[in-house]
Amino acid sequence: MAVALQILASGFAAGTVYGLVAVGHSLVFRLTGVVHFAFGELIALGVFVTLLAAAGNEPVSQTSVAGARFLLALVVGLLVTAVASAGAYFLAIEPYRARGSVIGWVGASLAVAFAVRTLLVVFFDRPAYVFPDPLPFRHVADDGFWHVGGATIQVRSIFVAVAALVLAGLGVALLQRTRFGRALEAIAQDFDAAVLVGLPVGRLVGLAFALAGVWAGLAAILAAPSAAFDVDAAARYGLYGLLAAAVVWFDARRALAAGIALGLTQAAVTSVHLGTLELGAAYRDVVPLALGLLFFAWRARTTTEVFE
Amino acid sequence: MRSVLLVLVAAVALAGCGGSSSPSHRTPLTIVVNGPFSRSPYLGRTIENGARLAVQEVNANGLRVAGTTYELRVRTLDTGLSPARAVANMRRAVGQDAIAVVDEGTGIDASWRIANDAGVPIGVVFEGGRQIVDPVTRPNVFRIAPTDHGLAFRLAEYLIPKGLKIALMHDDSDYGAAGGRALATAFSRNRSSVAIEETLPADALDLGPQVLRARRAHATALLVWGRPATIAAVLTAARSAGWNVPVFTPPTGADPFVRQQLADHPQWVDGLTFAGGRLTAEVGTGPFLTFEQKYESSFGVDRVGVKTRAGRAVVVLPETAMYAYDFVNLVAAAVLKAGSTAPPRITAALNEVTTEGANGDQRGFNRNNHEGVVDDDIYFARFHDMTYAPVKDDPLSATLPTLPQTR
Amino acid sequence: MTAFADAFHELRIGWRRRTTYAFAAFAIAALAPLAFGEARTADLAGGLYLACAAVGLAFAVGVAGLPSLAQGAFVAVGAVVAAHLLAAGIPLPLAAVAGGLGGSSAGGLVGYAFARLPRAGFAAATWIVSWLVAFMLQSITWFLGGSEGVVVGGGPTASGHYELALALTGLAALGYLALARSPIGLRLAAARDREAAAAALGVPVLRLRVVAVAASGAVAGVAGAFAVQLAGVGDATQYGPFLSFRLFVVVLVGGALAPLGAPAGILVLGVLSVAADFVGRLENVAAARAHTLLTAIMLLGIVSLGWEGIVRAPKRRRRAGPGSGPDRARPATLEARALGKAFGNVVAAQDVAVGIAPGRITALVGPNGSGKTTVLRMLAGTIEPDEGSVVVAHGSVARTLQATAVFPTLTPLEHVLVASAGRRSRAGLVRSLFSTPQARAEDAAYVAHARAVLDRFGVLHDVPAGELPVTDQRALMIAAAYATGASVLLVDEPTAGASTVEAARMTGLLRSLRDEGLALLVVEHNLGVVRRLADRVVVLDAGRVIADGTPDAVAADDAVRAAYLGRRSF
Repeated sequence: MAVALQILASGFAAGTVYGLVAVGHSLVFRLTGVVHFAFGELIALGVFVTLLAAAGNEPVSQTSVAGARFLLALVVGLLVTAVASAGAYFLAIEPYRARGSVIGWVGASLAVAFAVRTLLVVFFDRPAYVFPDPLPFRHVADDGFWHVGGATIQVRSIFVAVAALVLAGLGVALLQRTRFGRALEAIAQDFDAAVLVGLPVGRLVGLAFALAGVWAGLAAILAAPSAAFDVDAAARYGLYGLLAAAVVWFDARRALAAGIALGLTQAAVTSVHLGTLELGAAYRDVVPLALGLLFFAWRARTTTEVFE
Repeated sequence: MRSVLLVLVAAVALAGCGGSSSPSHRTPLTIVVNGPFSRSPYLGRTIENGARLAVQEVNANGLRVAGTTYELRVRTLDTGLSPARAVANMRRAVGQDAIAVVDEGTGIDASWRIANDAGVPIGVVFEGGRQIVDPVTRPNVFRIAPTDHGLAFRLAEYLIPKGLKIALMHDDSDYGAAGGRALATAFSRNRSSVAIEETLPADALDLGPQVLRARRAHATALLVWGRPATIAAVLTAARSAGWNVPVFTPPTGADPFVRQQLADHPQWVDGLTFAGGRLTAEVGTGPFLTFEQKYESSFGVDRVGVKTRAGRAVVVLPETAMYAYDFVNLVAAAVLKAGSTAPPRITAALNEVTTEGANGDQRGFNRNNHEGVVDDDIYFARFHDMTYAPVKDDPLSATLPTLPQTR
Repeated sequence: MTAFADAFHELRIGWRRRTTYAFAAFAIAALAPLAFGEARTADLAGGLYLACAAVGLAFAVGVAGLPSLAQGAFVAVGAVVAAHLLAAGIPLPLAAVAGGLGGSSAGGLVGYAFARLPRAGFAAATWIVSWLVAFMLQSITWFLGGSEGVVVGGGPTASGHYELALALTGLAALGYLALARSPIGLRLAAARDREAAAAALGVPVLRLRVVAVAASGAVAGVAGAFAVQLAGVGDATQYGPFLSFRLFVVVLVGGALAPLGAPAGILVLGVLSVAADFVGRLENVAAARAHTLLTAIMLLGIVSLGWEGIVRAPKRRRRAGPGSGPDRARPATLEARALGKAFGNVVAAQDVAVGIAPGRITALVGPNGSGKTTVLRMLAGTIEPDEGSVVVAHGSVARTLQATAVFPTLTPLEHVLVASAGRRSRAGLVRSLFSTPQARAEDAAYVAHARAVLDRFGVLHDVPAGELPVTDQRALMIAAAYATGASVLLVDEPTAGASTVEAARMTGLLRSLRDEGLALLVVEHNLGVVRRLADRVVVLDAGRVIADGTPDAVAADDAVRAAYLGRRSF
């Protein structure tokens, strides 16, 4: 029972962030036919720039980061993510997409991913980092943790899950209710027709890239204080988001659910043990990826009509 | 086609170059530092600085052999904690005519042979695995660092009489796996003291489930043998679950990273106890404080980045730097003793020289023993208020003074 | 003996300056260990093993057009297999073969699972595979000993490895060349250009793609096996997604369409690594990180030039020769009864019966939206009818597509070779790889046949098809369909947008095919052409057959008039 609660709490929190990233991936794919390989790294960029702006390179403690400074840092971080995402689109991805060169944009987006990753690793080389938490969770319950029947649930994880879901809801509203969202839908239906009709397609898609980065980045920043992390951990959001999106073939409506499923699987693998039999944290990445890939392969072999 | 030719020519030209001539009139001798600069930056830096300090002093005194004055210089190569890179670096070191290699220890099992074929001596200054050093089969491998065997036995000796049920946890890094084996041997006669044995994934930053499992096994103490990130993660997991179990670690517990990670919760660091090679000698704190002063005037104060409750900044005491420093001094002494700069002669002479170590102890090797730190020299220290002091309930530790760690 | 003489003779004929350069480069490269020390030689050998794996990848990326991002994972499989075997005392050559088998199995598995996906999806899937393998190596210590690695002792010296690696890369390049020219390579190239058109010509796209990925995996596995022996330790951190990325970069930089493109790319990467060392020393940054950064930036720069890479694809010349080309197609009949197909609520076809007899041209006409294309696809076997059956008595069916769908980068000669490849018996993977005398003889015969076909259809032989005028492209499509050896040809709107002269050329071609004994079904809008050409006309309206008879009879039919002109009969 305790284990189940623990799985639900941590898995849901991680899963909603994966889901948001997956929605971002889906949006990008539906608009441009491009798989955004650099998404995870751009999210990591946002997280680390926020960290840098909030706490400098010093170790983080509660007294060192005030609320106002954190807010400013958040704005800076999200701005950098937005600019970097849009920049990646215009400079690296769009030229090759326009030519129809799949190999081209695959190479370009991978190059952006590794360039950003290396840049981050040069500046942030410690094995792990602690992210400042502007919200006073440590004053809730026992230093921020609920002890429920043998399980330890981080109060933050509930917050992260709710916040991510709210973000997802806002995103959906944005896409469905605003002119911008409708224009994006038109572009997704037929790129060339949208151009003919006179929509400023380039600008809109660039804006969409930027927003996808900001949305996912915000979710990641909200989740970051929950545990220690490094560049790899932040970038891994992109990987899991991609898997979740790919499994539902970039359908934004199902991507969120796929992400949550992935998060729960991961939490289950880490925590579940039946007597002496258990997988443990060593498999926290292997099993979800393997299962996801198997599922993806099964879908790839059986439902080709869906792919366009 | 032309472009291909151009590229070919450029490649050949660039590949050929890569050595520079020394501007001074002294003949250079290279000492290579093979360390994990990109993955464990503090550890890499401290080893490099210790080596550089010794090199500075040797060059200041002048190294004269057979009428020629030599100048030592340090080259660093990054292993990134990757055994394959460590092997490639060793090849490169031999190719650069290094006379000695100061090595953190990653990948030694694969790389020692390359150095041995050229007769180049290797000084391991961090990893303590038993099989790394063997004077008979690996005559060119020396070590100045507490051995895993020594640390594990001292830990067992210290903990078992306390009647604790210990959870033996090690991570799956190179360092942790070797430590796990040493712990298994040390506790083999007292299985009743062991509550559970666990392997922790080295890259996982959230170890809640493993700590929970130890708690369920009714452990009353945690012995965590791993890299600093693992120790920090275990502390976080245990303390955040409200479990104030005492935690014991090898020297990695003193790595500044642990305190940096827990800067938010200084009280979680209180009580953390680690085992390490002693920093002071029987003659007192004098030699070490002198060394620390020299180190700081050359490289600046190494701040942890946290403050005590009174608001004073905490600094790191250079332990591993001492070992690198001592090894380079031994190499210089061996060069003088051998009267030659040929690596095989230096390796042979290393078995015959002694120097005064940074902490005041005599350091040296002989044909049957390539371990520079004696098992008996291992002490225990406990953290309180972000600084540590030798414990009072161990015979050796009780005799040791507390070294100042604030500025 | 004559086989060798023949091969030698062919080599003499095919020799070009480029080949001299390649040989010279290899000869010079073989002398490198004399100039460099052990460490550099070992580095160079490692680089060459990478080049070898990259050549394997170039086949999948360049020829098959598959953005495979899992090559690093296949190298890892080879390394793991070899590390364990070597540790058990198995000699290196056997371990390398085992590594190659492991790599090819992994490649085949990945291809089997994901080759159906469009390219973006394939890239995503293989990227995730790379990550999965990396995680498995790190987490499951059995594979490569986790962080400690598996020590692999013994083996040749660095110089020995260097020469081995050079030889292996050369062999890989030769294999690439042989396979790229072979029917397998041609058909993969066709599928890369236009998958649907290739499938229409009978190319088993999925199966060939699996072969391509498996082949690239085999090369990667062998390279990985040798490389792990060179490195002296199996280290899990060396086989991550970054390796896949690096191999991809090498292929792109060097040129995916040239066999020696990958080694050229490795050279560039080598230069880059030296530059990175230099930069690293300047900025006091660990060289490895500078290297990654520079690689990434370089790729961005290179890709912006268009991905032809440094080395251009070699011009392809083919020799025609005597020998038995493909057999003539046997006459066949196609009978379709009661065909029905619905897409959701829309009924595209209902109770459609069509009979196509040899030596006759049957025309299928009807207003727009009457379901002609759906019926055509059912007759061709592209889609399954919901009801009814299509029976073809001894023979196969080939179809041309409605739009002009030639393979832009292939020459007409290659188009016909792609189409006729299904009839070859000596063009399997192994025979193509080793370029056996029998394979070459069959090749020459089929080239002669192809040239004859192209002459008959009046199409140039060696110009890339994308540069031909549209009617020539149309004629080429029919020629290719003909070359598949099908007895029944389904031709979709051959005279669409053609002038009178061009239409006359088409009808002449179709008549000659009919006179040869083929059964033809032509979908046409131009009723004048239909009257002149067809022996029989089937009229569709709203998915149903409303008339079936001679052109004159159908023209007089009231229902047909009503359907076309929208008036009730009077």
